[in-house]
Amino acid sequence: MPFTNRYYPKLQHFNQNNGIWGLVRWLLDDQTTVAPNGPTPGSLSDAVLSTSPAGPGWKLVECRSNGGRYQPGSPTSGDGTLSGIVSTGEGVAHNWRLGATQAVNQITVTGGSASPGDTVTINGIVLTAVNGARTPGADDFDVSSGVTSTIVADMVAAINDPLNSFTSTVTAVDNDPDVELTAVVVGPSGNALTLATSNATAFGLTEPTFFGVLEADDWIVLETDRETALGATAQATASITPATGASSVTILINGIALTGVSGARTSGADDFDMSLGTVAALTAEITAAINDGANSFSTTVTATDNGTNVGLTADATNHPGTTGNLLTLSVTSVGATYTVSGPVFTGGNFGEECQLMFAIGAANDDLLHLLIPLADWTTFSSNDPATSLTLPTASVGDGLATFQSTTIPDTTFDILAVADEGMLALFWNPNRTDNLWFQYWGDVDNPNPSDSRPFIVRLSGSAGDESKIVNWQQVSFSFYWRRISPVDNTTLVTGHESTSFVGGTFSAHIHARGALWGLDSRLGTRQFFPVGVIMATSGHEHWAGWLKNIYEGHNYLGLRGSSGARDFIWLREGAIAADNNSTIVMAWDGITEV
Amino acid sequence: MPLVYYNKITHSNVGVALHDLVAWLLDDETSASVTALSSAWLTANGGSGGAGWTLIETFSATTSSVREIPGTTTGDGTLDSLPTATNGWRTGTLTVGDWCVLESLGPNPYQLYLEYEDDGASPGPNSGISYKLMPLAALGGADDFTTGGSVTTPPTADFPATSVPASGFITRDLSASGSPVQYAGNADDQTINLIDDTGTTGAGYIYIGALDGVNLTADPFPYVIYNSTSLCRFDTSDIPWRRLSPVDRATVINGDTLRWNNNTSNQGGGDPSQLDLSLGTGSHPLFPLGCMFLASNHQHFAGFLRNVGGISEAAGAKAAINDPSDPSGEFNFIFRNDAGTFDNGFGITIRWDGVTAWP
Repeated sequence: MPFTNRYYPKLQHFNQNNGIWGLVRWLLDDQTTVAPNGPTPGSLSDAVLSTSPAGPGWKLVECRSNGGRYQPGSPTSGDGTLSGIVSTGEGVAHNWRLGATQAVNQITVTGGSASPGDTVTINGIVLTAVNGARTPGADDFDVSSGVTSTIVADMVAAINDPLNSFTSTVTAVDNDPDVELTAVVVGPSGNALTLATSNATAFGLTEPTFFGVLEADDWIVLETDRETALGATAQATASITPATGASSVTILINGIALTGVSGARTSGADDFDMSLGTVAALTAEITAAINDGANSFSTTVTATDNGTNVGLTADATNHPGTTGNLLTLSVTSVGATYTVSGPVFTGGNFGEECQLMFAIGAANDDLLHLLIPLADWTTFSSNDPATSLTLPTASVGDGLATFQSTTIPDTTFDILAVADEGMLALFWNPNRTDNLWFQYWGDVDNPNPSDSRPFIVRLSGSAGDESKIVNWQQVSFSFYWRRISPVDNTTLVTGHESTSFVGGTFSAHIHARGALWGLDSRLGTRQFFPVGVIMATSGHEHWAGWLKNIYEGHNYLGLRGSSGARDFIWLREGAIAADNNSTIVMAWDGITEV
Repeated sequence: MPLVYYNKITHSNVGVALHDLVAWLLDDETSASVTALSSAWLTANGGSGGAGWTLIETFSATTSSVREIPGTTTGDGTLDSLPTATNGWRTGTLTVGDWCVLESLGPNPYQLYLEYEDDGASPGPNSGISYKLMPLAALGGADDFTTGGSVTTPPTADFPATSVPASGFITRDLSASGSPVQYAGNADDQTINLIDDTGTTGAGYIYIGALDGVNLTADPFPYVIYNSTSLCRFDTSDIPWRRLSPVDRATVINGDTLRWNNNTSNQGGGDPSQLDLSLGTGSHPLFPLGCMFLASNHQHFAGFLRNVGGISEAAGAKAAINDPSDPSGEFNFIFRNDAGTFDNGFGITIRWDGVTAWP
């Protein structure tokens, strides 16, 4: 089953934290969760965000906010979605659940318990209950009716009254019996607003502080879903079907001979007793011979006696996954017909997953990200509110177990992204000239067959450098790609993009040469070329593979644009010039303009 | 159409080889001279068969010079259908100077001239094959080969002005006349990949035909021919491609091989320590290759080569890469690289049948 492309077609976000939330929701293909807040006041029950475009269907591993962490548990309704997030003691306060752009809170009114003189304090501003009509400008509200719905309505009117003191801090919505509050300020600073009351029976508060906007130390770990596209990781298998009465038998398992003899087999001699009188006896005999550690097969295959045939499974250490499909099998027999399942083993597969972690940095406008190629994130064993994390040793960011940080402006911005079950590539701020950046995480096409985890990440710049490299670099020393070495699954290796170039002595890329101004314009055509990634760390050199859904285009295409059918878009940072850097092209949805 | 293979067949001399190669391109498995040769490409011998191209005209100097087209009755289009029984193309015995013209398949078929030649050196001339491409043959008129002309070799007056090369031929001198020659290759409806390896005069390669990834509206005749017949590698110092410009359909232009850098020095080959040796023997990636034409006012990327790619020099001089576990056959290749040292370039890697041993 092939990978299926999904596109995040330039949904606008209102700050970077909300943007991350939206991106995560899409990656999870979470069609049920709705975001509560846009730039205008809304309520917790409002569904402002339109139905998300279908996402690639990654999986939620764990997330943390508001001092609590959440892991999808046993399958339940909504489990694995953001709206399905519940954590002990946090209730609805989990920021990943809400993804709000403006912090929220809620007062649940029980009218019969309210008394004049009761107070509700919103970020230090006191709203006082009175016995009678409220007075605009006096920061009070009427509880004389004792009726919940009437009191709720008057509280909302009071909070929203511009003559009172609250309108620069919060807005309110009547959702009887709740007064739903929304911070005026956009962004995580609204989470610091406080809420208190002198009568918790009459005025139940959801939280003592506002909540809902992703903020510093909130993080989430996602996992790809390559198994859906590739199938589960499996060892290659084959089988041998013996027959009684043979006078001569030679079975070749990847070139190692198992020879039939008449009489008891000899351990260490790579033989078996072919004179046994039943098929069941032969299958047991062959199985024992193959699994005999003194014989020559133990590093190649293991055998299973199936009664009518012998099942062979490629050794997981020496012939893992797809590499097991290269094992050969044959048999020659005289006097009886032995058969094998085929000339080679089959069914070996690598369906390994990787994980991707996003976190909000301490400055609230830093996005931290980390590729976890061994998918070995350890979930917390208790409701640990600790903000310090132990990152997996073989995770990749600026370095091993080190986040990479990218600053995203806390204003309106867009994301353009393409993803499938195994990768994510995105442009941030495609309509800006600053803070435009490109990122790629995940797998590649056509890796070496022995590379079971072909997961790479492109940094936005050098380690610790937030300069945005939104073009393909022809300079060989721009080592923006990183991964864990497939040689030892331990070493951090770096590499560079491999792009096409024309012959000659290290001439610049064909699309970058000034003499080729107007390349192909006479034919009215444009070409997009595949981009490979080569890892150059000594002792670990290899061609990682071809990027998926990402290509290279002429740098004279312009700073941004799309093909006629909008099946490709491109973006580039920097001036259009005959330099050595070409344009990043992304497979697109055929609909959305850049 | 499925890919067909000329699966490493050795003949006693170039003339025999050329006759058999033409039979393969025609998929002529019935003519007496073909069955007598009993080459491995024949389906009767477990081979893939031939490409099914069309025979346009032949010239044979044997016995008496005859220039003729294939018959239109039983055996139409085959070598046996040539009217004259002593026609070398019919008997299988060619003479230096014998030629034929074939036509490819496809929506805009091209024509290809092949001639048995020798270089005239004395003593010990080398025999070879001369090629000439007629890319606009589908347009007819002045753009295809004129049949029925004078009995002569080469038939210079009968080539269209839009031939490639415009004058002369692309010639690969293979071996001392009379010496054995081996060919290996693949073909489909519109392309030919052939590696020759005599073992004495080195190895050579030729590609003729269509490209992939072409905008056929803008470029309906994307046919190229490889001109570097002295090399059997894609070399960074070489500009081996020839085609008729799609801009004016008049100018013959030269082109580079578009390749991907695969080491840190932006080279196409380079230091073997750079490439995948850490991941096991033979773990070299195969790269797509394209044709890029840079002639002023004719610049364009023509497309990707079909059924051939590149492999690092670090892979060695020659080997087969066969993956019997892959039913698609996508990973069955042979490669040849005559560089000897690690120059800047790729070894030539062509799709293979996954069965025949190589080298």
